[in-house]
Amino acid sequence: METIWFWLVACMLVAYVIFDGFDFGAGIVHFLVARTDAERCVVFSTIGPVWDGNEVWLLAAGGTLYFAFPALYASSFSGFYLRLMMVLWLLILRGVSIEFRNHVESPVWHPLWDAGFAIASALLAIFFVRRWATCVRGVPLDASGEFFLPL
Amino acid sequence: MSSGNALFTLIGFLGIYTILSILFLFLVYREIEEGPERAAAV
Repeated sequence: METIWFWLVACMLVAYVIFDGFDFGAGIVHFLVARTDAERCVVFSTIGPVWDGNEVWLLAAGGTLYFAFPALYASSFSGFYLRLMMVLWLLILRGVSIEFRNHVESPVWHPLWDAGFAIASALLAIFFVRRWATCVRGVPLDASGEFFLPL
Repeated sequence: MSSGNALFTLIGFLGIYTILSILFLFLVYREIEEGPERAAAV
């Protein structure tokens, strides 16, 4: 049974990395590949219908961890508290940037949210890679199975 | 995890939601200013 849940969580995380990686990529390169506002809109419409759906893989993986591996959930979410909060804030910034961008027609408004989208995407990719690297290297678990890592 | 971390993230969330609520009011105000005419015309 544990093996099945392990594979379920693993597949969800892999799906998240692949699908949301596409959205991060679009965010990171959209300043380079799209020079005009119309071209930016093309980039936005490629990820527009799917980016929030892709994000659900991360929520599903976190939710499944909670009931399939509660000790791992408790330990890792406490240990990575500040890093996870940073990821959460960046996810908020990305979502807000995508949603707010087209509400106002102004030469200031669009670049502002485009920058938010690009910065949030780039930092999210960096944070996720860093966190994955930390997990691979191992975390300093104490006798009670807990740890805490700074930002 | 220390209480300082919890305070830090609480303040962070307060800041984020304050900014978002100001943006919300700004956008809603704009929408009200525009009035229903444009929507009715479409």
